[in-house]
Amino acid sequence: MAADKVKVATGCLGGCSGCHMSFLDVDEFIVDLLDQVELVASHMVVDTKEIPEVKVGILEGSMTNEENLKLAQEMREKSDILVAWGDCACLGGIMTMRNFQDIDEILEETYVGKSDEESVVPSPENVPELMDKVGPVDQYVDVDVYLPGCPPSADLIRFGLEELLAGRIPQLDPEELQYN
Amino acid sequence: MNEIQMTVNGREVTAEEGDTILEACEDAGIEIPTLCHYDDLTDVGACRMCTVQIDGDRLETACTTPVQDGIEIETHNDELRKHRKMLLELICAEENHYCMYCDMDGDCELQDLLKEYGVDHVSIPYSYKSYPVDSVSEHLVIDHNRCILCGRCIRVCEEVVSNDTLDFGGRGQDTKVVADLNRPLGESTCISCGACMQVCPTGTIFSKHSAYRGNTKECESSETVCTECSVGCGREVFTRSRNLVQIYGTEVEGPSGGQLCERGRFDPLTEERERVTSAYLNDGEVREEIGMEEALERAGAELGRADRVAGMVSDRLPTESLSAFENLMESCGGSFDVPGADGIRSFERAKEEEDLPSLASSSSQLLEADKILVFDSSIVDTHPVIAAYVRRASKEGAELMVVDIEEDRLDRYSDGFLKLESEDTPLAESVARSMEDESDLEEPTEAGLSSQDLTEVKSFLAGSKRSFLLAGARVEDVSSLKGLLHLARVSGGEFLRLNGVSNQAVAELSTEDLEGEFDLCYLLAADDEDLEEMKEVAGRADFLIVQAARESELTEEADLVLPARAWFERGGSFVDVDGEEKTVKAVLEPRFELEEDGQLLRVSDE
Repeated sequence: MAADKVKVATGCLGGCSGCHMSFLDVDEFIVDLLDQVELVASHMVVDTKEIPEVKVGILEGSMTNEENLKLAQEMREKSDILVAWGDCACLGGIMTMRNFQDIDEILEETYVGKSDEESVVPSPENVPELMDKVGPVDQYVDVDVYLPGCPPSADLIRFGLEELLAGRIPQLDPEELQYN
Repeated sequence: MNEIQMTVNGREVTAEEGDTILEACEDAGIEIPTLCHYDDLTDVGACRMCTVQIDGDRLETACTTPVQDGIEIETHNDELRKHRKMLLELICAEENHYCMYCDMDGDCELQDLLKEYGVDHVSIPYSYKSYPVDSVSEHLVIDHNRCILCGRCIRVCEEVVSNDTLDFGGRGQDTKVVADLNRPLGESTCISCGACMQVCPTGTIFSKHSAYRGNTKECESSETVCTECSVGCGREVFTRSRNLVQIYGTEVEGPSGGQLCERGRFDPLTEERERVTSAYLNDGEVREEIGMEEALERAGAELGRADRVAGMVSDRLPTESLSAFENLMESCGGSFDVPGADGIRSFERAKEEEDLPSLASSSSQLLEADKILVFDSSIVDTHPVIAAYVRRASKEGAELMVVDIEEDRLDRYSDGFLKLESEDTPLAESVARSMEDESDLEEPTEAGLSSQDLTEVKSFLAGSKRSFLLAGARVEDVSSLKGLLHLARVSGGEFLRLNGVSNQAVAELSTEDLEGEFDLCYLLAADDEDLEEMKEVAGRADFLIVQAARESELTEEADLVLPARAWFERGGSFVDVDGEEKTVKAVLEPRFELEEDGQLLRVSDE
């Protein structure tokens, strides 16, 4: 009955995958969920280079480099509804701490002479180039649903998914909003 | 007052003319969100969260708009919700309001509003502007990245503490709260009272001693009274895992509400002296720990054996502990004193020898004064909250004159200053006599005062509606006090005496000057830090018993040391400077077995 299932894709931008981990805390709900959805792209469980057309696209993490931008744009293009999971995707998150420092200084501090004496800052050909400022996803592509929290609790994630499956845009109870 | 009828959210509301819409709605139990508003501070309409809609059209801030007859007000509708949410998003976009690394996470008025208005993202690009963090002060940090410029800290510094340290500096996006002319707080005129920290709605101003140790909502709290001086400010003490975390001033109505000083708010949190946790014998080199019972027996035996016994007891203890100590001393025929009590005794003598002027019924009455004459401006150290009343009165129009043997510590606020050569210069007496018999002023002999100085004081006091003479703790010789009483009486002023003793119940004790040598000296030092007077008496005794909560020079010198409860473990009554009896509550139970003072002192006289 795979054809009836709702197609869902998830992706991780500049984040720690903690939101995905929190999602796993929905425990046995995941069994019910897989009856109703088909996970067609997800960086840790589905091996795919391209995101197919989906009903719901989910992103965690903030926009930190060119690769993030490509993924976010592709996810937006392929999704009917784009969901931002977690503080990074919704509000910018902890990654924005680097916005207050000089990028070159950060890169040098991170790489130069660190693994051995010859190690240098990697070139953009090898690793994606950093964007000037880290920002939330909606700074670049439109987001339809925001679920902030670091990470959003499993209950919140479950609520979000259940509402979407019921054909509604989730409206969070103010008490459920988290900023940490 | 005229009554005004208006409609709020379709409901008839009666208000008083002159009320703001916010006040009227609060009285009627209608909630309006606020952020820059703070009870008892002037409203300025800075944050615009309290914006309401009037007659279906105008948007006005409820905190600054007075009520009008017949207006229709809406406090909550879709348009207002949209506006408030936009304001919150603007605040978030401008500075760093990411809660994860903020001490106030979970205890923040901005965060509460973000939740209430469902701010799950910010639709305006963040500025990512970096503001400085001022951490020079010993106690306080100002993280300007968290500052929403509500101005509460500035207003409390200006209107309540009346120290005028904080203000806005800069323009537009560069506006920030500055101390003095943009100096680090720790190098400014700040007196570290911490009022700004208490009123800050976000995590901008926080205490170094309390940060990241649990916010006030995560802590248990109990209300007690500060015994650091005789003002007896209300203290709200926050504890977590049986540790002191934070101290706030208790927010009650009245001029002292919420106020504390550096000693009351921060010093207890910086306590580093080791705790005395058990009794021990000390022969100068080796400490021999002994059981409490044995220690009390030993103390009793020593007290029984000694002929000449002297005692000293901390003035910061509750009345019950003081009485227990007095009983102990009586039972063993000893004489005892309290640090600072000689100032009380000399004032009692002065009162016996001089006709009394009217005595100020309450220290907060200073705010009603049109003239205040302060003798001894060290009140800024000894009674900082009363010094705040003086500054505030001066700012509200009272004339202030200071007489001191050193510098004028109220310099920025006083209209005149006279420096005396010595404490017993008969300035007050000379002026009083001249006022009494309308004679010309004579220069007091050997006092270094000119008749011009005396005329200045005389004309200062002349023609006042309600004047106060305030004598600080350093004025303690009988003749000066008599002179001041005399001057207050002939000038028709009210007299307020601030002595150096915390619990004014000390005045009821039979304290006396301790002269000569003693066989035994018993010191109940509790957690006092200023031990000079006790040390002096201890040096004149053969055997020294020290009962204290903390190790000190005294315990080093003692032959027998007994543990005592610390201030936060001790309850009882406390008489403040206005003669009001207040209740001190124990905030924490001792971590080890330890009886209350009364119990210990009873046992040891057996």
